[in-house]
Amino acid sequence: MLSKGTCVKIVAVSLLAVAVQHIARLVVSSGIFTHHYKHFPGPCRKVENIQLGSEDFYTLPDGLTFISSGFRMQNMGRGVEEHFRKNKLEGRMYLFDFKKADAGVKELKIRSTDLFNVDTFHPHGVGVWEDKKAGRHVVFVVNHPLEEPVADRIEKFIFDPNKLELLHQAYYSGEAMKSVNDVQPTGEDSFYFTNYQYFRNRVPVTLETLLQLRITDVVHFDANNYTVVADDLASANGIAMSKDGQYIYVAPCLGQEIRVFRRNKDNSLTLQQIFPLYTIPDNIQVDHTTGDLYVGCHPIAYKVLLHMEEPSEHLAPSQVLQLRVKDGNITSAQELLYDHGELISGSTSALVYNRKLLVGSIFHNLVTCDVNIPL
Amino acid sequence: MGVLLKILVVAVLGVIAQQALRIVNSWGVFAHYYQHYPGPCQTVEGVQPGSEDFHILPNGQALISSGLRYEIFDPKCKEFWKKHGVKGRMYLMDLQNVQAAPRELKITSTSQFNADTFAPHGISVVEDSKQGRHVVFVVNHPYGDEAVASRVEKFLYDPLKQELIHQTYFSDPTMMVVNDLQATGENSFYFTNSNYFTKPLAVLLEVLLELPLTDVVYFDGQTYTVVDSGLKSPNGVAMSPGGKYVYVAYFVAREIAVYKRNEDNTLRPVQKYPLYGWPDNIQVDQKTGHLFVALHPLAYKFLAYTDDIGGQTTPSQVIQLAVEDGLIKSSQELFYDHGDLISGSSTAIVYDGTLLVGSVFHNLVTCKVNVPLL
Repeated sequence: MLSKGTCVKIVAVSLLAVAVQHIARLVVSSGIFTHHYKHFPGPCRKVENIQLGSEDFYTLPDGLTFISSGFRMQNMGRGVEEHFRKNKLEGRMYLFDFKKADAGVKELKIRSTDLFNVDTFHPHGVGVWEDKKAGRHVVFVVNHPLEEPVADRIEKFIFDPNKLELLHQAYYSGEAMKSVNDVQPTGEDSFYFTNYQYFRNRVPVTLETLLQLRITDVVHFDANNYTVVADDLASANGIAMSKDGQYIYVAPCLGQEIRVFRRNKDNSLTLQQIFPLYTIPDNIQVDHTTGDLYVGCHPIAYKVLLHMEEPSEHLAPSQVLQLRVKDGNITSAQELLYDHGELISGSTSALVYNRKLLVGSIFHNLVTCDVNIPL
Repeated sequence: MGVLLKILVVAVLGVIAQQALRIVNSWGVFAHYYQHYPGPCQTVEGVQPGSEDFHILPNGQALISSGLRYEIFDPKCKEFWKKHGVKGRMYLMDLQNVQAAPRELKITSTSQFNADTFAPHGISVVEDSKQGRHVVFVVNHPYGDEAVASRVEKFLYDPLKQELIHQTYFSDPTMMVVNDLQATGENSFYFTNSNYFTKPLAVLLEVLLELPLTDVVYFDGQTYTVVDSGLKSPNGVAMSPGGKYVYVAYFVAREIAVYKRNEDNTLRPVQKYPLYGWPDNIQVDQKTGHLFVALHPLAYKFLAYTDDIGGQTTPSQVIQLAVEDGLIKSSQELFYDHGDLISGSSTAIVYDGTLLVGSVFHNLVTCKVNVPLL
């Protein structure tokens, strides 16, 4: 029989061992031992006529791309406030055409309505639904309105291609929306979205991040109800759908992986594959012809954390991965771009279309590159 | 007294733990990289496994040293060499016609040189611009000795007969396990000793504990002089196009050292450029002075690979280093392969839009370079 004292000692040492092991893992995944070299798939340049920030974009089959810019969340801190003030940033949406990749972007007109205030608009994830019957595009955008009480919403716009305008139709909100990140439409009134933080306040969120808790989820809205369709995710960030609607791809960014789900008839999801990445993935884009995935990533965790605290003071490296897909499964990965942060800091979103790579970032430049290497 | 002792013990353990962690990290245990290529790549057919080093002649022909092998290696490796009929060979490859199979140069034994035990390692060439009768120096570890022996062979290249005619050899107590050399004249060269020990277990310890026992030596035609010592495994050595700077790749120290060359050929260190993998050979672009370095990015995989070269793979990596006034200014990664296309890259260069990558015991690869160079 062990004495009480010895039992206590054993428990204490075991807890210490678990803590040390977790801290060691955290230290390694923070990226302080990580070193990569820069390389590009061809000549790159920054897109000139857009403000800083291009957190997400969505590309239609014809190459027309909707870009969200001016992302910020409530409670983000003085560094972000300073960055917005210094660069006169606002929530804006831009249009880019892959077929005219050197022509830059065009800003889309957005006006307030009684349901929507454009002055507090801070767009995050974007997803577009092609309503083929009505011959129009429905643009869903995650919004973190800078107002009290704090609540994220998903805005619904109709795109007017003649006036280059986004006409606000409706918004979605509710308890199922915690800290929303990205949206993937499945109909003109239905979509999946990701909650990327469970908590809102600084201390719990910090703990949630450090302990890499898997308490975020993916929710589906079917025009009536919100249903949690996937959980056990560490900070669910980007979400995308295969072009045939059969697979849903999710990037639980702190999990450093991509999860592939099979989509069931009732929109519920069945986990099919977990593909480990050794980097923090942000948004996922799906190639229109091959079904391959392109992921914007943050390869050195502590650097992107510093960049998010003070975007004007700290650069963060950017990385674009191409994940080859076969029958929905990811089979291999290739790195298309790595930059130390000078050309582009904090890459979030990327896509190759017609041999042109477009890369967006949280608070920094939007970049295009020629892709002259085998894909 | 008891408390002081306890503090001392904990402090020493702390230092040991920190050093152990640093060393384990440098083996690449925590690293993960992705593959990518500068353009379409293919393996070069018609050559035996192994292309440890090469020299690019002015007409775009690569003189490739192939057939490195050691008696002290695991029987599985010796099986592999026997199976593929590996012996010491020198190939000539036309980089302006990469589809053509490289040609094997004729090498005959003499009273001073045995072509059957020839196991070539690093190579350096003194070019003869008039008649093309280049002087070719090759590091040789004659295969079959229980401990690794090293000598430097000197050949004369006959372009008409496509033959390397053995002239003489150099051997000296300052030669430990020689890796590479850089000629400065027809009878003078720098060479690197990459290992102090010659027996397998001792070499392993030397590498694992990062013992700084090796050096760089200069031979001026008469005497051998140690020009830098107390080093952690100098591997590749190369010279800037004007001969003012000497570049040495430190395998275990994971860096490129840039030296300024003094009048008397001694070296003065001017820069240490850290790399995050184990660099092997350095090639210099004669027009721009930029460097191309082939590395073993995951040392633990490379070490495991050298135990079973027929059954394991190890990743390959090529970095371009931009040089300005002799000093390294920036870097870019041109190539990363997990080891299926090419395992254990040891040398690389971009010549006229073609990347050539050689490996210690595996394939020889060419790629089109469609990305911007520094």
